[in-house]
Order: sequence, then structure tokens, then C-alpha cells
Amino acid sequence: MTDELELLREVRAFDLEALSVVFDRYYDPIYRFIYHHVHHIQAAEDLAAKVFQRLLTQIAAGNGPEQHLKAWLFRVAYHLIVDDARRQQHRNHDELTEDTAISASVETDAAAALLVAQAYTALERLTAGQRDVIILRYLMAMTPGETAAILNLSVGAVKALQHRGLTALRQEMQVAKEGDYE
Amino acid sequence: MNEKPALQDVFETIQTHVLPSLNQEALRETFLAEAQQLKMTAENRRANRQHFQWLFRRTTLYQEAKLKTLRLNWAAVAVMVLLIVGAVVAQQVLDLFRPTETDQTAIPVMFGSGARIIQPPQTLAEAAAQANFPVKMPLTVPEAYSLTEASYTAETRKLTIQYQCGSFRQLIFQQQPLSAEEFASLSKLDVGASAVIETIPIGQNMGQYARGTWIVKDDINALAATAIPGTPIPAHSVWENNSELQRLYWYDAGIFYALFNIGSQLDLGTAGECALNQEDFAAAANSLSPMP
Repeated sequence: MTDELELLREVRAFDLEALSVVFDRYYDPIYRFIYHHVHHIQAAEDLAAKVFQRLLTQIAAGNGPEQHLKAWLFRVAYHLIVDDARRQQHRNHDELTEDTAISASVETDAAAALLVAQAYTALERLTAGQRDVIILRYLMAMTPGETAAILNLSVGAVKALQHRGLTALRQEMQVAKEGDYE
Repeated sequence: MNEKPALQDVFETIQTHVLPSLNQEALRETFLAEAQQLKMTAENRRANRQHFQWLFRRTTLYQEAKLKTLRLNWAAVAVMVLLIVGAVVAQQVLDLFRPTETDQTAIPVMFGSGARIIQPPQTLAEAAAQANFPVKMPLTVPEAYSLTEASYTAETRKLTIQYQCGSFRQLIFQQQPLSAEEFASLSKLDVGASAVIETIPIGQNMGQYARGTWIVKDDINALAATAIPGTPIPAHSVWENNSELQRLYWYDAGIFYALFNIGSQLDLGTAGECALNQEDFAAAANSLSPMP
């Protein structure tokens, strides 16, 4: 935490070295987080770039993160995802499957790619809250506290959404229970 | 992989199959370039603010009225532009700028009571109602600037109209009735030897335009500490032609007109959409129209 606070202090002073560290540390997780929602490289890159652009403009305006840089970045990413989803209402499951199917063609493990496509489709069928929690908890390895901070929920609400989300996901994917979570 | 994988397997598979970002390096470069740009902008803004604040703290009106932040810039221009003056009496012809021998000289700088031209802001109509001469205003003003306030000073019979762009830049238009004798007694304004003084046709008259400002190289805080309010002291300064600061003066039918902008003497090519040029000044001056 001290390291991150120090980093944040330097970032707020527009220290380019610190900003490089932030980008190198958080770009890939942010990109992945967004990708799990939009399933499209270009769209994920565009939104990830916007997250970091917003960091700069907020700092320049005297705003931006003061204590929790990571949570702030993910929260911004989350809001951009939600905004983007509103604009992309026309995107449907067929397109999603097609996008992911394209990725399968370049994968050596076609079975795994198919599983990914099925999982994304299943995630799409969860409620938004369940999906957000599942992605943050299990695909981004966030703690319940971090997840709660990003989604502006209580930890209890995160746990409830997590439980219901996992149950729904199991049903959607008809996965085996051995070695499963919970 | 099992036909029915556990959720843990599903999550791990997803994590390892996210397609990589293809443009991370390019985005990184863009991010850092943007950061560099914003850093420079922030530094310029901070320098401007500090400079204005420093100047403002030395005006007596600061103690008298605690004027709102916007008027801080008025104090700045009073010190920066109006008080760096020579003592030679002008000729009857419009010849207000006086080039010095070189671009480096000791110019008289005054602190304190010299900045007493500030008036409470009024609407243009209120200010014009107080003036006992036909007030004019420019119909053509650069798009980025908008009218913010006006004021009339009875002692000098000077009406001032202020246009604002962003937080730090103003375009000031002043008009003041002067008799031929008063006009002849106007003090000249020292400009650097390399200053380009241009004559601009304004209606049937000719105006004088110059761009640039003096950058005080002496320790301004040390000067201020030893200065007697209202008494000029020499300050080693260097003329900078690339400054955003510009001035245009002309005299027409007994009215002396001044059009000048306010930024910071440190503002070199960073004004963005607020940037002005000679054509902007000429267009504004040539668009003067009587107040309805």
C-alpha cells in the first residue's frame, strides 16, 4: 500500500517514470478486464486507452485517485464498459460467438477455445451484477473487498451475487462439481 | 480437458485464452506523450497563476477590497504592461512605442500603488451609462473570447471592456476621451530594439501595433522587498518578441483607444485556442460600432 501511495503521489505530480510504471502495471489487467466484457480486441484496447487518458485528465484537473489507484482504474474501466454496453445494445450473442469463433481458428487448442466461447455466452446470460462479480472475483482474481470497491457494493452484496452467479453459471454450462468453487 | 470441466477449469481456460492486446506499445507511447503534454500545460498554468498572484499581492487594492480572483489579472496587467513606462513626452502623431537601444535593458518597474486602476466590474450598459462620451464596442472579437465585464473609471474617464478566454487570458478594450494636449502628453512605452512596431489602418486613421513584452530577469522578489510603493526601480529585463502579449493603440475623433491582451509574460506559444495575432487585433479595431 505504501508503495502504491508513493507511486500515486508521483503520478499526481505527472512524473513520467511513475506513469510508465502505472501503465506497465495496470494496462494488461485493465485490458483483460474489459476484454472479458466486450470480447473484442480493438474495443478493449480503445476502452483501456480511455481509462488511462481519464487518469491523466483527472489528475490535470486536480481530481483523480487519492488513495487506491488500482481500484480507481478498475472503477473507471467498469463505468466505461457500462457506457459502452449501452451504446452497443445491438451487439448480440451471434456476434459474440462469431468473434470468439474467429479467435478459435488461431488457437491450437480448439476445444479450449470452444469452452471459452461457451463460458462467455454463459456469462452473458447472468445478470449484470452476477457477471461483474464473477469476472472480477474469478477472472481478475480480485478480493471481495476490491470487488466491492470497484462495483460500489458492500462485501456482503458481492458474496451474495457471487454465490448466485456461480450457481447460475454451473447450470448454464452444466459443469462438473468436482473440484469446484464453494 | 474433461467433457464436463469444473468451473475452476473454465475460469483458468478463459484466463489463458484472452487474446493479447496488439497495440499496447503504441498506446503506451501515446499515453506518455499525452502525459508530457499535460504536464507542460499544468506547469505553465501553475507558473502563470503564481506570477499573477505574486503581482496581485503587491497591489494596494488587494488589501482594500479582496477582489475576486478574476480581477487578479487586472492587477497583473497594471503592473506588467502599464507601469513599465518611459518618461519622454509623445509627439502629436501616434508614436507611442519607443524602442530601446538593445533587447536588454534596465526598465523601470513599479510596485504597489501604481496598480490603482481597478474598478468594480459592471455590465457594459452600466459602464457606458456613466461615460459622458459615445461608447463604442468591437463587433468582431475572436471566437474563443467572450465578454465578461466592463468598468468605467471616472477619474481617468476610461471605459474598459474585458473579454475572457479560458482562465488566464483576457482581451482588453479601452477607450478614453483625450484632448489634443492630453494625447500629446501620453508617455511612451519602451519596447525592445528588435520589437516590430507596425502601423495598421483603422478606418480613416492609423494605429500602432506591437507584439512582445519585457521579461524581468532580476529576482523579482528581491526587487519587491526593497521597492517603495509607487516609486519605479530599475529591473534588468530582456525583450521577448514571441510573447503572446500584444498591444494596439489608435486615436480617433478625440478618443484614445487601446486594445491589448493579458496572459503571462511567460506565455510563449502555449495559448492554444486563446492565441491572438495581428489580424485579430486589426479586425476587432476595424469593427468598432457605437453602442445601441
